[in-house]
Amino acid sequence: MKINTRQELDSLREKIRKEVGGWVRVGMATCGMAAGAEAVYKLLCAEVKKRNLDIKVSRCGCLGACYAEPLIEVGVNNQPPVKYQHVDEKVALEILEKHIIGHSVAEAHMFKPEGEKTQLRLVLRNCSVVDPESIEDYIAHDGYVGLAKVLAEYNPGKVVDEMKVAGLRGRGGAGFPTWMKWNFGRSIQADQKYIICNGDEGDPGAYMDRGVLEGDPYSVLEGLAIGAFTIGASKGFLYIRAEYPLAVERVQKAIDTAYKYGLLGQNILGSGFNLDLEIRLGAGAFVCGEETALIASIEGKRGYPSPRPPYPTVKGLWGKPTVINNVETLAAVPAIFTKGAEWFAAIGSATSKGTKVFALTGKVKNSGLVEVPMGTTLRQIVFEAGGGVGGGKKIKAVQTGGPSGGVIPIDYLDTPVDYETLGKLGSIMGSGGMIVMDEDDCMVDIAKFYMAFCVEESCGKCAPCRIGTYQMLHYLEKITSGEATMKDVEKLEEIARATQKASLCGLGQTAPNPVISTLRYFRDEYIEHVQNKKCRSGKCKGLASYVVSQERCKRCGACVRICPVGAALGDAKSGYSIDPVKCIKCGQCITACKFNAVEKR
Amino acid sequence: MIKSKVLIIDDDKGFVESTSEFLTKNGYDVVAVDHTTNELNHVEREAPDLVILDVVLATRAEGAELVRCMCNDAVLRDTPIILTATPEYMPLAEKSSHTCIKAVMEKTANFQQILQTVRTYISRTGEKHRAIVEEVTKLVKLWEGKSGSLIMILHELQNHYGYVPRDVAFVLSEILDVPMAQIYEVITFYNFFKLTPPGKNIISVCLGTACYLKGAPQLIEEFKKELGVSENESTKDGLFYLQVVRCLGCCGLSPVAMINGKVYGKVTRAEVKTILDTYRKG
Repeated sequence: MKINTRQELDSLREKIRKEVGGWVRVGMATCGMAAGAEAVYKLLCAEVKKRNLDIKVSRCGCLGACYAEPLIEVGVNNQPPVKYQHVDEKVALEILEKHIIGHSVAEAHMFKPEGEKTQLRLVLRNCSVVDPESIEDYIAHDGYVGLAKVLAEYNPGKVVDEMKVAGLRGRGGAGFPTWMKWNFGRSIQADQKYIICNGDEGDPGAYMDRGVLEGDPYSVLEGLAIGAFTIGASKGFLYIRAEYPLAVERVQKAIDTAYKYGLLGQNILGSGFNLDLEIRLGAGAFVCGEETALIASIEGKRGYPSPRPPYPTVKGLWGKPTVINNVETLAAVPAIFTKGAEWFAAIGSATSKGTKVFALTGKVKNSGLVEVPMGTTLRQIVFEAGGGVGGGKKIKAVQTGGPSGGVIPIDYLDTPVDYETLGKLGSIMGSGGMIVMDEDDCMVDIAKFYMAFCVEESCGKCAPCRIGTYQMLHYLEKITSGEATMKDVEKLEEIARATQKASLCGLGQTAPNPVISTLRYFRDEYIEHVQNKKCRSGKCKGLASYVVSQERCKRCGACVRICPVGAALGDAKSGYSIDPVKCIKCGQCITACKFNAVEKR
Repeated sequence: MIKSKVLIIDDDKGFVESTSEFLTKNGYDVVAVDHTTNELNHVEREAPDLVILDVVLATRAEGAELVRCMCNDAVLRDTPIILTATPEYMPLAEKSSHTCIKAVMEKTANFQQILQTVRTYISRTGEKHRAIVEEVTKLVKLWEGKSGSLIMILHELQNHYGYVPRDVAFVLSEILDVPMAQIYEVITFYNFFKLTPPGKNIISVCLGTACYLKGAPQLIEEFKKELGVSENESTKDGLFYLQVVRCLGCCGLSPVAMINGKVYGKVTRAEVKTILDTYRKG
């Protein structure tokens, strides 16, 4: 059923809206599926059908609270909708009887979200509402209002002006103003231009893009269409990680459906604007998030970055002008044209407008996707939206920007988060990973973790990154195993600075950030590792010493039996101890001891 | 059509010359080397479709050593070997039990017999080869006329075969008219592509930052210990393949492991054996 004009689109929207009665939505992004949402969805569908209820059961994307999955939301009898948490099949049946049929809330399973006040769902506006596999549901929720308006009322120049007013900046990490990028793309003359959606979310510990692609693929397609119209591209690609099969599946479905509805292809909404979109899969290379490497990968080659300039907006895919935007950036675009640029610009801080989605994880109580206005403080994000640190531990630092970012110590928790402030603290906004660390985490170990990642992911094209990251890892290993001198710390810092300066692309230039920022804020921990051979969190196995607590020891001898090198000594009579010289610090005695008598110090 | 390539490794000049001539006449591309050169390098460089190997080269051990190296090489293990021997060494040749040895022949065998055996095991003419050509052609068609499709085609191939087998890559090279080196260049750059068949059950343990903080390294150790393999290896019985991945995007459930698409959240070391046992029982 093809939609030919804006009027047809509007009348379809009116028609669908009227049809919506009572509903149940099941959160079915990867996290929900992992927790068992599929079974719940199937059960509800079957029961509603069996009992012949006038209820629409639909899927929706991430509800943002991974810790409470599977989540469902029920809206019946014109009552305010209610969310339920940890819904398995049994609970689902109970909710069906009590709430959907009986119209009274099943209190025991109600989801009472913490910190909803702090959050503002703009990019994720549809994720908990719209069925990601239904274009009509998207249209009913103001989908394609923005594109229809742009095609009917705007010219490319006016779109750029509007984006300038909105002040949206690239959400991929660096925060380059989107209007400026689009303007570059627009002003250059070429027979063919391309637009690309960068969905190669490589930061380990970040999954905002996955959330958006799985939960609201149509917003991304609409954003791409508005961008393509602006720069004059008739062909676009979505580059998505192959590790996100569900996202790939849903985006492909969305593309196919959009073609059927005439919202992709030739003469979209009768405007004369044409756009073809295609998915290209990443294949597990972090460097492909870098735009020149991504282009090489779409061309079917190794994902090697190339020097800029020329920038892709001048010479990109197959040598043609190419604009690359991040998933989250594109998902925000339709909202700007639906609700207005001024509305968008009113949200956020002075330099950074709108909202930012963070994947809040690590030692935080409620991990999940949170979306907050730019300028919200770290403290609000961690303690209000995330519910603070779990397990009665004390927060030590917050890491943003993944392997390209830095650690921020608690002294700066009241910093409002935007591109500039994070930059000043030696971290970056990055794509939106935010990892909370507590007193059990060792900062040197964290730097080592990220460095190991960068060594693996360095593409090897330029020497500073290939050799620099390897050498930094070498020194970090030396430090964490207690074999380093202060000279090594100096060397580490020196190599970090050199790698930052000399590397070809963003991967190498930012790879030293975790080292530099931990050295900046937690130098005392490095010194402790080197001079006192001590790791205060006990993470660095090479530095730990194992001691048997004589009070807790029940003299069972389990440690002696398990110890592979005979370092656990003693007998039931005289008690047990561990010889620090023989001990290889494998930690097996700790696992073997049923009474927690072996301690790592 | 590229000719099938046969590599003869033998120090018996008469045998090499006559066999080469005969196989060349029958449409094969033949390369011969004697024992004075580094044979494994030759196999790697020539990338033959089949190797005719003398069981005894300079020493009794050398032929066997080459077979062992080839069988352990992820790329070369698919290359079939015909082991040849003079009658006195036949017992030694027949003792070899490596999987890539497809046939053992006496050197006194007549040419027709050799040709027959070569035809049977060279994949380019056999039933298997025809099936591969058919499958690859079908998958390549999906991407016809689209530029830069090599990576997407490799995705399709891996989806179908579970990995990218060498003979399949060869066929792809011919169909696309892209050098083999270019195909391998891409395969080896991206972590996602596999050159060896993975085990039946694929275990992905997450080593994203959140999982790392919550004990993923210990979990990986436990899986390695329990399975007796390293990362990116299959167990000997072919039942499991262990890989470490960066972020499955289930940080809320960390530490996380995934087996064949089923996600296990908040996994403890103690649970590893129980989880594996459910797959062991089948």
